[in-house]
Amino acid sequence: MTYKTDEIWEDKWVNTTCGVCYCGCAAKVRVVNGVPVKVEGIAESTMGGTEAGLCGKGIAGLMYYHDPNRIKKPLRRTNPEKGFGVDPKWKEIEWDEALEEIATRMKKIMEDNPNKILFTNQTMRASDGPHNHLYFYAKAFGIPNNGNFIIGGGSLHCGNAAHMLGGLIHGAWSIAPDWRYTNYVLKWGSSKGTGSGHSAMINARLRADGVRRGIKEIVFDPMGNFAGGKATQWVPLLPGTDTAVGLAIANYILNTRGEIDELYLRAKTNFVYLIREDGTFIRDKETDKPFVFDEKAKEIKVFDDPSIAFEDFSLEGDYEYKGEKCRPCFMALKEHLKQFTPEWASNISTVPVATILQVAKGWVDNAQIGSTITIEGQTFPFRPVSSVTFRGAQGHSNGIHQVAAIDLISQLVGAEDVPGGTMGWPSIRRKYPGGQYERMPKVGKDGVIVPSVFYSHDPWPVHPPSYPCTNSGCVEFWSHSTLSHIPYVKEKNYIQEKFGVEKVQPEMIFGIAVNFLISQSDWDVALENFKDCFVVLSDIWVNETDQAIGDIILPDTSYLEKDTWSSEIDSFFFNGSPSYEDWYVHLQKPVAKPIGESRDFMDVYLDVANRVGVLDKYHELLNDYYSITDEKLQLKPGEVLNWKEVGERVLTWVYGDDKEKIQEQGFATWHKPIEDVYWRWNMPTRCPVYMEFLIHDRRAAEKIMKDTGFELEMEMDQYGPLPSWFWPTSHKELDDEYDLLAFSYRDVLHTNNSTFQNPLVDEVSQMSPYTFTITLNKGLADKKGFKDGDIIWMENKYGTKEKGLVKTMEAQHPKVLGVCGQGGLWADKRPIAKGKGSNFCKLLPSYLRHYDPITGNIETSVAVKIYKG
Amino acid sequence: MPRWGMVIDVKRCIACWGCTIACKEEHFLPPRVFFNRVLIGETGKFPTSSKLIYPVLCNHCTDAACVEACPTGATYIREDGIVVVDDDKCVGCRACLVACPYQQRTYYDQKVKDREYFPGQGKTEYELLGEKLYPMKVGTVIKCNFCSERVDDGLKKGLTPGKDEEATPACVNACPVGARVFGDLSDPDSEISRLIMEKKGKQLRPEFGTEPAVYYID
Repeated sequence: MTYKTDEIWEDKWVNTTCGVCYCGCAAKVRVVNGVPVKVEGIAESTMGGTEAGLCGKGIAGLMYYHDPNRIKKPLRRTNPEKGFGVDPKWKEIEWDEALEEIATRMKKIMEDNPNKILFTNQTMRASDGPHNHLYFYAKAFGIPNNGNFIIGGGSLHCGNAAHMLGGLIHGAWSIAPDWRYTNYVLKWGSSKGTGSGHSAMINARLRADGVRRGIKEIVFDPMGNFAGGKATQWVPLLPGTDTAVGLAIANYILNTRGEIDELYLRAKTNFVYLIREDGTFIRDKETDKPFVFDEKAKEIKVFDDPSIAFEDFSLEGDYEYKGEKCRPCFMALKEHLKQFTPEWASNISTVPVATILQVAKGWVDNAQIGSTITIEGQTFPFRPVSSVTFRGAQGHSNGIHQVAAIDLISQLVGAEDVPGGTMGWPSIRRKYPGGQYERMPKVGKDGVIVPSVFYSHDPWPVHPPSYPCTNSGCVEFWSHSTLSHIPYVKEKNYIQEKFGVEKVQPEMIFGIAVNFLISQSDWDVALENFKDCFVVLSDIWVNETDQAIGDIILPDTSYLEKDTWSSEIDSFFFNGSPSYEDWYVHLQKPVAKPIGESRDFMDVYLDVANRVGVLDKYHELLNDYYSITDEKLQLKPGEVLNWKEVGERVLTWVYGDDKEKIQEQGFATWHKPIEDVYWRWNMPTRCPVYMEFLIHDRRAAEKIMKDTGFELEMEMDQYGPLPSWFWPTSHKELDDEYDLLAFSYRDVLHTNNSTFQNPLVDEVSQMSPYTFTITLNKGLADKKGFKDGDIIWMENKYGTKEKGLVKTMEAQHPKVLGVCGQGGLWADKRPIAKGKGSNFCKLLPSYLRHYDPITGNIETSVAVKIYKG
Repeated sequence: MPRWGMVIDVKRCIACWGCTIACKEEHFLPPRVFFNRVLIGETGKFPTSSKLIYPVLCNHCTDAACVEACPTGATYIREDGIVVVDDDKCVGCRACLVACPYQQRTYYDQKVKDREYFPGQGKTEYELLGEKLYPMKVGTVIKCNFCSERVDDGLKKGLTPGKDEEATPACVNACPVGARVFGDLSDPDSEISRLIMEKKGKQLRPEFGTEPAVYYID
């Protein structure tokens, strides 16, 4: 076998950005005779795996181009009936006809209320396009915050609680261990470094080097598969009980060992702020700033009084301000934690007491409190311990407490954004040398960091719950839900009626690459909530949502055909490196011509905006988003440009004289200063670990509920300033019949359901023992009489059921069922995906009580019974 | 003369299947044909069980069972240790398939050739171009060749296999966690030799006496 080269008239590699998951690693594509034939990473860039490494599904991305099932012309539903199993009776129509109908409908709705239009996208297939544009595109239509309605958010696949605290603590979207310097990593329901999460292959590369260096990685997870299976120590626990173990470890650190980083706590947290008896801060009347006590001057001062040295901020003591007793809130923490003993945590989580103590001891022993490290001539605190979480642990009805407890462990030893510790990333985006686009976090009210870029609204400053709500997401009331859950909630109509939203019921959805009917929660609820809307969706295939409720389907280009110059600029907070290595910028360059009549959705956005008459406004918002102040480069009123032409302006602004060089190469790298990585001690911020704002929010929320007669169950005790224990709703629904907790997890091979249609991924998924199966602990399976290959039904208390193939595992908690992502697909135009795996999402009940009352996370485990199919 | 070999670091490997899929694209392999696979399983009992991940490929054995079994001399070991099949000599008897203790060989017949990635929808441009670029002869046995085309072309260009991407097997380049190292086993100073020495590299099923050139470290 040898290569035959006589028929090759073109053989080139094109640098671009992978578009198979939201991480967007550097990728290059081999194009032979105009046909993409191979995908690799880019060795010269650190935006991805080792050297030219890329994960399997990224390499398989090739098939997005070659799939004959791609939509080639716009489709119009001719059957007015919508629903599962209903033939939409598609008719191919011309682009002009499709866009005219869309624009006409939009204009009509806008005359009434533009909030009745929902723009949406999804992180299912999303790095093949701008991430953030949705929000300010919606603004151009007069929709102020788009209902915070992004499919994927507030849901099974995203992380409202993780993002909220990522923003509040680190000014960042997510967290990761500082793999390069850490020695001891705790992972809680997270696969960072083992294939999933943000910057997936960057973390995988850094973790692999760390593991070879000898770091210890302890994984708390119901299953020992991707993260747990690779851990130094896998600790099985029940889903949603991480808080209990975390609080017991925090109690050990603070009250048993008493070994804490006092200087850090005094200098970098709000634990020094003085609280009165009801737990609220005492504030200076004039400035509204919280007070602290200066131990040296023996005086109460505002928190940012420059006369106080870090070491003199009081952590403990009883004081009085104008006759009112007060004390640092750290004292409240110390007392609060005493109740969380290892024995108590063990009873809840099933983690043995000895294991909790062993991990806690290891944490303190490895933290090296007080030590420093000098890197590049700069000295930083050295805390080689890191505690990270993401979707698994935080996706519960107690999500905010889960994340806060996991973060508290790092806080107590000062391991936040210092070498070896827990890193928020990227908090900063430096401008390219000679360019103009830079994103720096700010210091906001009470010294809390305000992220430079965030989806939807910033986590800080918070606003207390208010009403009436002005959009279907009710984000005025759920003010901490980064991405709203309300559109999926069973009692949506009741909630919207109570909170005064009935006048903005959505009439139209314009979505990009979304499959929200089957990828969130209870399918029937989602269908009921969305079927009456006029649904326009842009995608490369007709997926389940398109088939069930789509009215017009627009053929999008795949990432291999896109000129997404904005790729990395827009999504840097998804694909930055948490480590001390070069900055990078990457473009997504087209490697092949668009399939059929498919059009990049950004061009469609521009076209629709022009037809609706809001293009000038969108241009203004684009100028603002990229901070373009050079008049020559600004997008001007009356101009009609395509996305590539817009890019010519923006890239000149962002990359200056090097624009063409970067466009040609597809990427650039440059030195990242060490202080951009370990910024914590160079920025005058304090972590709001004492979440005092929740006390005020509770009062405001309860008043609204009383005033409106709102009677749905909400666990208001969760609105407390310190992480506490609350049983997830799934546990509350366990009984003798519904005796198991089903949960889902991310498989490295899959990006939710989009990768199910990729035949290269599909065939290896079939060789993987767990990807398309329902996993059960072997002992449990024996007890229940199931064996590998059996077909079983999983059924929840509400009568929703799903079937699948049994695969037994030793490395699984004996009280849980594991299901990978979003199988059980049925769209006729995705034949590779059809019938593969099981759909977990539909099993999640979506009553309001199944959501975290503060951030809107859905409870992502569910009580089920199983029986033979 | 070098002796090409590979070290796979199972501690680094996260079972992403990048090696498997990159290999398929490199050689335009038809559906359900693999020169690289990832074996996934577990050992031990709950709660102290461990996940096992073994990426496997042709071991390019020094005492290769397939070579001994081949009646026509089609399967042979090159001077640099790479085990290859000369499809002009292969008669498709498949004795080597039976002999290979690692199950790394595939019989390429018309049915395999006719497979489509999108069944019933015709071959894609990728598949059609692959048949021209990397033709395989129906009725012969195919297997991993350590990307000998890359190695040979790279050497001609003065590149170093294992170091320069262009001269290195596709699965090694693709690995996002640096779990694969390719190099010269006969050079005691090569990275691969050093890793085998330092990390006590193990071959799969050494009891077969085949002396594989693929080593595993953990």
